[in-house]
Amino acid sequence: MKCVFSQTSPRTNSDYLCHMNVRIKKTNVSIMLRFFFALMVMLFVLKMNTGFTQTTLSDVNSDSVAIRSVSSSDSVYVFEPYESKRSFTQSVLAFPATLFNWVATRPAGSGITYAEMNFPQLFAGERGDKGIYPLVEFGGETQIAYGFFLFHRDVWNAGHGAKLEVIFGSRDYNEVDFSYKVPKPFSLTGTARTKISYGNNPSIAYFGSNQLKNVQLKRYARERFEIIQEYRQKVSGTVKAKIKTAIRSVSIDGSEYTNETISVPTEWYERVGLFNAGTEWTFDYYEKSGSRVVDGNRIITGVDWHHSIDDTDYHYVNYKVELNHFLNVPLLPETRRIGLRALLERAEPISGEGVPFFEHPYLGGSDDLRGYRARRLQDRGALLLTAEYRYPIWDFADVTLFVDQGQVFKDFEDIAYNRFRTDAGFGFHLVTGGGLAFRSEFAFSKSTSRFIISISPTF
Amino acid sequence: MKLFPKNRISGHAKFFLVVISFLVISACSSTKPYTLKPVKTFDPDTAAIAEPEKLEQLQYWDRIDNSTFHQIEKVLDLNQVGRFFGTVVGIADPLEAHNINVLDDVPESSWYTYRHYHKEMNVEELKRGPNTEAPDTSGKWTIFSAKLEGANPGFFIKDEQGNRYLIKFDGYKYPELTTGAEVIGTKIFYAAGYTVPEAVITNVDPNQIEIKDGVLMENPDGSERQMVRADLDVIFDVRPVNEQGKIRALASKFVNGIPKGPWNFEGTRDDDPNDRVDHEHRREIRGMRIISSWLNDTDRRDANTMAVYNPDGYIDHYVQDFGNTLGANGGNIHKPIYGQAYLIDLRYIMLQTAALGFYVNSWETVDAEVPLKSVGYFKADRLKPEGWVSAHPLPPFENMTISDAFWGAKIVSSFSDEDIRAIVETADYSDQRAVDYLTETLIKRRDIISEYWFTKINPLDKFSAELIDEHTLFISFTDLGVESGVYSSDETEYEFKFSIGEEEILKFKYSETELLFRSPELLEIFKQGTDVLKLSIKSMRAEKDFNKKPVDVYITVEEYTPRIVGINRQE
Repeated sequence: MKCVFSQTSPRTNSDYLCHMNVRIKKTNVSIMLRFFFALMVMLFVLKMNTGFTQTTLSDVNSDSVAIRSVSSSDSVYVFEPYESKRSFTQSVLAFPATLFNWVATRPAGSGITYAEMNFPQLFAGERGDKGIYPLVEFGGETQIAYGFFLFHRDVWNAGHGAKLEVIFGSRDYNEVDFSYKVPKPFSLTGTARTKISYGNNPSIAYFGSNQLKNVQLKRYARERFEIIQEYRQKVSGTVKAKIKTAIRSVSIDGSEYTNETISVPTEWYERVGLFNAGTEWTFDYYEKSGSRVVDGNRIITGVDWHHSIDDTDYHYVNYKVELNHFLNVPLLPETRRIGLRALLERAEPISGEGVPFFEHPYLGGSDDLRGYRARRLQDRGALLLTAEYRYPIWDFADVTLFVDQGQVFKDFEDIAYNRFRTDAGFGFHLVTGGGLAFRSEFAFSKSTSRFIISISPTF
Repeated sequence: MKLFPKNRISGHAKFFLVVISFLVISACSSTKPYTLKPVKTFDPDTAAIAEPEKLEQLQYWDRIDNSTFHQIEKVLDLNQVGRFFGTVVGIADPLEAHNINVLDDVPESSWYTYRHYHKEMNVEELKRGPNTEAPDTSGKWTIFSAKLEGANPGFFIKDEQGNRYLIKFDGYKYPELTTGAEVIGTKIFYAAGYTVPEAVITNVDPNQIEIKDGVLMENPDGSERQMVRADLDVIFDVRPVNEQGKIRALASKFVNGIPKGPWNFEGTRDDDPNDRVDHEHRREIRGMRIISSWLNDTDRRDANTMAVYNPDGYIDHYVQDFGNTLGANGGNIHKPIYGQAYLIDLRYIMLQTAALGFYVNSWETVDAEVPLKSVGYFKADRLKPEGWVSAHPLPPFENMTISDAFWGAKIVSSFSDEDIRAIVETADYSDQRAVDYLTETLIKRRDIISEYWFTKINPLDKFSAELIDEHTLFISFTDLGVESGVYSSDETEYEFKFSIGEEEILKFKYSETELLFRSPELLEIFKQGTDVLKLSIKSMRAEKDFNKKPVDVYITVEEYTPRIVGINRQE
């Protein structure tokens, strides 16, 4: 066979597939392709068909064959066994399912079977007393960061808990968090926890305003080191208290990841050493149906006092008040509920240079004003209002519809109705016996739309 | 009009249309509704085979597969999709089971044995069930293996007769609940025709138990250690003792053969040449759904089956683990959702999502009322026979047709009130109210099942023919609808039509289930050896819904011996 190319031919070059000594027209190739496809399908189906055929009785030692029969006068009737047979037609029509079975079902079955036989605790929902899990973080300037989470829930067989989280993004982006928990220290009935934390983030966004337009995005790099000591105590059936002290070192520098934005002013670059003491009280009057909160209130209030411990001159206090309220939807089961949240945060200078800019409360991110990027609104005070309708679609899953409204302000007099920024969205919550295990939400605002995955609840 | 208008359909599309059409048309086939050969009442799947491998009993893959991957494959299987739409528009019939004989029944096999419906069992036989020998409680029991963790702790013992048993206990919160359900479920399934392990209530004397050296226990960290007495005390200390200081338990005797793991509800077993019929297309598995709905046996799945390589060299197919029947769910009680929806039911999930929470499932507004701890949550008023489902999708249950359901329903309806009470009493409940409640609930559920399925198909069965003389044929049958109380005989009449080939020879109405067919040339009809007498029976009832389609019965006479050679029911 020859593939012929001729410039004098009325047909174009594209009508020929090759320029060797073989002439094969495109239309001929089309027919050949169809025939080849049909042949492959038939062969595949026949192979599958053969796979369905069981070893016949003739393959078995005939002396051992035992077939019940019916005798009628001089003859003995031998029944043919029933057999599921699939015709060629049926095999072809089942081809998509057969293909899916080979490429998806069987590999998944092998994997899950292997896991069940070798790691049965995974299916029992147990994490075990100790273990290690991989961590992956997406987003931000580093795009992706990897790490691991190491835990031990019974250190020294004394009920102590230790956790280590490490994330590496780059030389300039990494986080290490280590915490150690001691239950009932010194014969007290609460829990003491020590946390040592180091973080290096080369690009943190700063808007510093309630405005959405005409605001310059600035960035800064932050390195922090922190030692926190806290003690949690259940005061009564509905009241929990926490007291903490912390020492922090925070270093602010210009960001190299500015792209089309700019770095914060150089006069903001500094290293700050701070001492913090604070307390937080939770008044929990929730009513639950299983692990779902369906009614009642919860009030969280806390205050933190900060003072420089180096040659900087910061002296300020942060306080917050949060009110959560759930109510049932009338005429429907209690699991259809509306959650309302009101949060007020404020950083108040006491003396000296007041409040560092990076300590100002902010809104935006996965846990408050969800339709806005992290830290989109930032100032000395923040006010957030949320209404969220939650309803179960199954006993382990809820769907939510929510609206967030929030604003930041310098002074309380600045709070105004027309300064609220709004977002709305919907989401899916995975609910276990311990409460929320996982949520994924879509949030939309005039500014942007965001997809959120988190393992912590908003409220 | 051209079949393929020029330029309207591409060449590729034409090609595939022709191929698909050819394939679909070539799939069509038809068979005679009767046979002149012996009726197959036995499926010869008991040939000796080489000993197969033991399959692992897994707890999760079958549930994951049936809930997700299998559901996707159903949509991708064009056979199923085409047949589904065909049945919706009325141009196709549902796919019937692959192992039905001409009498629309299941032959006996390694899967199924004719018992109570086909060969009525007396009360003593029903009460005995599969049991042969209870454990000898007069002497020592020696534990040789144990599984003490989990909701249903248990251990394996050998008594002084050398018999081996699995001993299982009730959950400590609900005494008698699980063991009672196991006994009742075992005996009903046995009488229904399935192969089940023995199960008998026994009383364990903690002082008579010894632990053999080498019995290992698993520590929380996965390591193993020798089982000690304290491990047994953990079980015994929280369970009630009777007046003799003994603890109630269920004893299940070791089966006769070598367990080879579970059998699956889909496909066949590769290393068993006798296993030729896809399990999802076996009528006795499909029809099991009705029996399971009766008992609220929601945990029916691969892990609760057992393939046993018996001494004759073939595999027996056991159905086991009835601790999730009636009001029991392992060591706990059933929840209202069981039987009404799958544990993960995409139908209701999608409905709830779209309805924004305004659709309220029936089980959401119901508390699990427990009249007695030994009874658990078991009710009749919420049973919807057509909608009953197991906890997870099962391919044979999904494939069940009305004919399969009728087969299951007639087995359920064969248990009389006295039969049910006799079986329930073998569970040895300490409170007579438990016996009364369970008996009454099982009777009500039986009646609900009969009432539903016997209206979907003409419920005539148990046909027989007898030659009175050379001109007279005596024909009788049973109207299961009347027998079960769904219909009254006073309000029922039948239309009989006799035909030979296409020729109708006699037609009349009559209200009895026994009739005589007389003809001077009666035996001439069958002399050719190829003709059969066709009797079509339509039921006419003055009450309730009923199926108006006839049941066609084919009768032949060979050497003065009449026999039924075909039954065809129309849905």
